[in-house]
Amino acid sequence: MPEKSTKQNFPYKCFYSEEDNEVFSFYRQGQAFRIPITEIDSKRNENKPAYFLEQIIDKDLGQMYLVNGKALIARSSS
Amino acid sequence: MDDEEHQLEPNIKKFKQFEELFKYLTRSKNVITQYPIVTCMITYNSKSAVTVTKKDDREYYVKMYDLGTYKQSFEEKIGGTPTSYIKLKEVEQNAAGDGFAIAYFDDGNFRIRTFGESTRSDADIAAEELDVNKELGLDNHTMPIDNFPDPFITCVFVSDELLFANLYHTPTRTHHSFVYNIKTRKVSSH
Repeated sequence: MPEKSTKQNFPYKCFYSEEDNEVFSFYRQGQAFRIPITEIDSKRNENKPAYFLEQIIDKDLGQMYLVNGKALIARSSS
Repeated sequence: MDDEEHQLEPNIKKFKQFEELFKYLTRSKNVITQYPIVTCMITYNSKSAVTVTKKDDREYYVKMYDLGTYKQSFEEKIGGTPTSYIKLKEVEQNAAGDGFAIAYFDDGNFRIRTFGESTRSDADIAAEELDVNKELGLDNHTMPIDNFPDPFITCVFVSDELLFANLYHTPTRTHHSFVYNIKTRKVSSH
């Protein structure tokens, strides 16, 4: 995890996208993992890395929903 | 609490002259839970409401209530021993709404429990529960945040058989993720 991630960080919520065959996992301190699933339709993900990690916001994330597997709606606080 | 006296009704008076149109669109009934609700969800098949309730830091319950009869149809206890320290927030469900999973934390130990719509014995639960620390070779030094219910582990169904889970091991500040096959009880992609 990046340096910004402290011991108070934790995975808040994860969502599965059938369209991308990936799980999106969002951490409290704003990190987002995209993790390709290889147990289903593995050919679709054979050229992808094991995960993608991004810092999507520099504020804390709270309650969240993923709309249509594309748009994240989340509460956030500083 | 008197169930009839405290019956909640939808506030349809705000619709003024259209009140009659909305009068019979909703049904409501108070269902008193034994302990405070942490989270509540409705299954995708619209048959049940599933609650996570908390007695204290050592004991949580997952219960299901039939949305037709409002009667409790399922109950399982989480923790409840003198050494338990439980963090549990949400129940995940499969696409059909008839298979469920919880990922929870018990005093440094991460666990995954999967279940259906039938209440099981403690022995059956213990036999079927996944000990994540043992499976991934992790110590039990993770410290959660006292006032937060978050267990530092979350999961989601990717199919009826496969459950994705990820956790944060705080002593090493490491993210772990894996896929758990509910039928074969095998872990992969760690």
